[in-house]
Amino acid sequence: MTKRLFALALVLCMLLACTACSAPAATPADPPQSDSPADAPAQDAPDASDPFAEHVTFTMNTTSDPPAADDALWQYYTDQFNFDVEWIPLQYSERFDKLRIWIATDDLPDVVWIGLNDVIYTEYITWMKTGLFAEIPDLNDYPNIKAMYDQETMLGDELCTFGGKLMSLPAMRDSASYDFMINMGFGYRADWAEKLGMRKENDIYTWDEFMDLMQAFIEQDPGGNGAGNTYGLATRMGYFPDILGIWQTNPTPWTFEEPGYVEMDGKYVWYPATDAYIEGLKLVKDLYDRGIIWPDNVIDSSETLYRELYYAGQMGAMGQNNSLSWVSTVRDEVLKVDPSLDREKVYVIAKVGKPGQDGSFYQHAVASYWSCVAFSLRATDAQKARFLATQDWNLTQEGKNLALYGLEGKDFTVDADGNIQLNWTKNDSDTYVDPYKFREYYSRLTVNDNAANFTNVAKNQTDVEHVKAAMDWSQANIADQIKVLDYVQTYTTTPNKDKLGTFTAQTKAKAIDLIANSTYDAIEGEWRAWIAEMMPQVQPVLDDLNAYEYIPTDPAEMMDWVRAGGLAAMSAD
Amino acid sequence: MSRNVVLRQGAALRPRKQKTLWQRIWLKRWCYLIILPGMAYFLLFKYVPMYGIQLAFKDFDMVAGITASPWVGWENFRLLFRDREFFLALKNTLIISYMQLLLFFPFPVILSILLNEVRPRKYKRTVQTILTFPHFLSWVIVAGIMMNILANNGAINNLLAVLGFDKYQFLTDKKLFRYILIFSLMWKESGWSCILYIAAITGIDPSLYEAATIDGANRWHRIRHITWPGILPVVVITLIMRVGHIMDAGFDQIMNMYNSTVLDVADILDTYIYRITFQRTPNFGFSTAVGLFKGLTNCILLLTVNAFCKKLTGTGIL
Repeated sequence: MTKRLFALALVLCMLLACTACSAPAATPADPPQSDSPADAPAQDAPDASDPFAEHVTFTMNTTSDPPAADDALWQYYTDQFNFDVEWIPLQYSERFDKLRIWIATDDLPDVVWIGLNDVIYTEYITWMKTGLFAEIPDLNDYPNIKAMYDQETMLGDELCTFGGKLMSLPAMRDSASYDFMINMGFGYRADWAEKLGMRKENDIYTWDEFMDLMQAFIEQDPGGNGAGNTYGLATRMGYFPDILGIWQTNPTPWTFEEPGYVEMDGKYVWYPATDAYIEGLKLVKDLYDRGIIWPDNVIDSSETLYRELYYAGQMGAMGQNNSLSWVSTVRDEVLKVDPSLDREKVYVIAKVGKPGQDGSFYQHAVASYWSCVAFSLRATDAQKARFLATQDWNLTQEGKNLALYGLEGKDFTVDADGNIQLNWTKNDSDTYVDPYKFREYYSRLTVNDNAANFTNVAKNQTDVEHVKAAMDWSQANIADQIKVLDYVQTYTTTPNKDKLGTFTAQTKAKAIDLIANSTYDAIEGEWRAWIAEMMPQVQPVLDDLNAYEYIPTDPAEMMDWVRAGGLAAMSAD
Repeated sequence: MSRNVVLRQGAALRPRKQKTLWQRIWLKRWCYLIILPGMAYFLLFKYVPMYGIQLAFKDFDMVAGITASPWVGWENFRLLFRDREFFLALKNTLIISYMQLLLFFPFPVILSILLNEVRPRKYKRTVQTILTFPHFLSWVIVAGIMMNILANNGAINNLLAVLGFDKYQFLTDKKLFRYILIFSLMWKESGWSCILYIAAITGIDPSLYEAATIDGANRWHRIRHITWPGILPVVVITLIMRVGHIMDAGFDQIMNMYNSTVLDVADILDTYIYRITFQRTPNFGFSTAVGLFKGLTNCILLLTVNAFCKKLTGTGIL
């Protein structure tokens, strides 16, 4: 009898496991929730006059922490629009891997956030052209989104329309007033530099001066960490090793934040194969060998250890995109570890000259968009409509206020002149403490307000002034040196480019390997040997890019070509 | 004469009727029901996915799906055998697997024999529990621990610095990295792996030890002539199973522990497949070709070693 019971229990377990492993109930063939109100209980029957009468739930991926159960703002927001999101949280570093897995296994969330700002672009084109995502409904029903989309700098049609169908919605960066320039460079411990008597006026350094300063940090240990416990310079793996010398030696307009194809003398070449790249690689190697670069930077795939060392007062500088939120976060975190420090000096944006070119500075602009949102084929009409309705509202002034400041009346008030009066508490550094941790849904999906939101009164105003001053300085002094995005190369779709991509992962891995394991004298030879090995794979992409059938070769025609149709025209073919 | 005896005698006189297959299954229905979940598991998760093997011979089109994608013959294999990274990954897989076989595989066997010789039961159980515990940590955690121990600002380097020595980059040293993999595998899995051997030792008749002791056998003699032959069949079976997985050198471990500086010595077939499929512009046909190559090689190795072991020890799994 026991055996029989055991056998039955096992079979039951198996059945349960199979049920758990089966596909979600909703499939494209299933009737959309919104189209079957008759199935709902009578008391929940939607009111035709109320567009939000029916409760809607959809799945969505996020690289932020999802809202906590007690997040009052999210609770209010979802109640107002009568919807829920089942979040699928991701590490930021796995945003591409997971997307590829979902597409391959037909497991896309209903609403898909795509980190469309770097190497994934060629794949994105393929996905959108081949109908792996659902078409976005007519934007005329969502006037605020449409207005954002139609802005000239947004390049919405070029980026999101394929074969006449709108397939995704871009999130616009908020830095149009700076021509989408970002503060890409070094932030450093100005208080340590002062302590050593090495701080320069207005934080302007030549390359050698800045690296000497890092060396002095390591050797003289102004933080008092003890011998061997103070490090010089580090960056997140996404920027390593490029931001530590390779970008600065690059004479051409940059494409993305990763190595790719650049136009030189009227012809596209693979950037890692150029002399400029090798010069930059040797520069990084030299800094690594001298111990100026944090030794574990080559293995820090977590992208967090380097900044934790900075917060702990063990790192002299970081290579970063110094947005306002980044600067504020770093200053806050450092102060948490040691509240006695001068907040304004623990992380200061340095203007560091290019190596061997005093008076020249590196800075670059990025694409006007930062990411995009698309719908899976499984998304129902009701889910799409609710998502778009909420995002359309987010773009109203009321929505922007909620995104930035919370609940009107409780978290802030607006005076007769339209000025915001915040009711948030302040910490010891005189910085407002955000009562809500989750912001992504309100302020990241259609407008990314992270880079230059200088009118945000909730931000620490000294941080605002500091970041704004650094951006204004770049605009005033090195505007002609700011590298702009090569839209032609970016938006070009060719058979081999779409299939083979930019070889970024291989390039980065090899560069890191040689920086850690080669010698300064041998690195150039080893790099050239590797390039020779790779060229047979890369050449078909270069052949495509240099073929006039795919792309106008005159950079002066760049924007005209884009606006005249560019990618959209090609995708229609 | 009882009724039962009469019935048995009667039955013996009549020719026995052969039971049909279904009758035999019905007779043992509860046994079949018990193995059903296992069979369903293998069917669902091992055999049904083989449907995707055809991708190795196709140019996969996500929209068209597996069946409707065009056939390309051996093209994916031609690409495979021209790929330098594939051969590097194959080489690393074989090297790391054989290192595991030579350095890790005997370790739990020795450990279980040593544990068997520990007399105080409480001490023995405590040691065994401590050794088994790391198995329950995921490789993500173990990789973090290794990083904290071996990184430039890790425990060992800090100790070296305090003692006046230069720091050393353990995790970027290509010569050391494979040994770090083996060491961390030993630390994590030895305790768990030796459970099987301890169970086998427990099954040995204690009277054999008593008789051997009376006959004057010392501890070494008892291990050599009683314990070792007693666990040999289990060792052979686990060896065959391990060799059958020679092309699986430990995806979870390596994926979490390796980095770009040691890619040349640590990239195995599984990490290579993951990278080309999910970290680059994917080519599923190519990835499937690599997977198929790996699976077939494992299968051939399994059959070869099984035949070899059968000839050598009379024990095998097939």
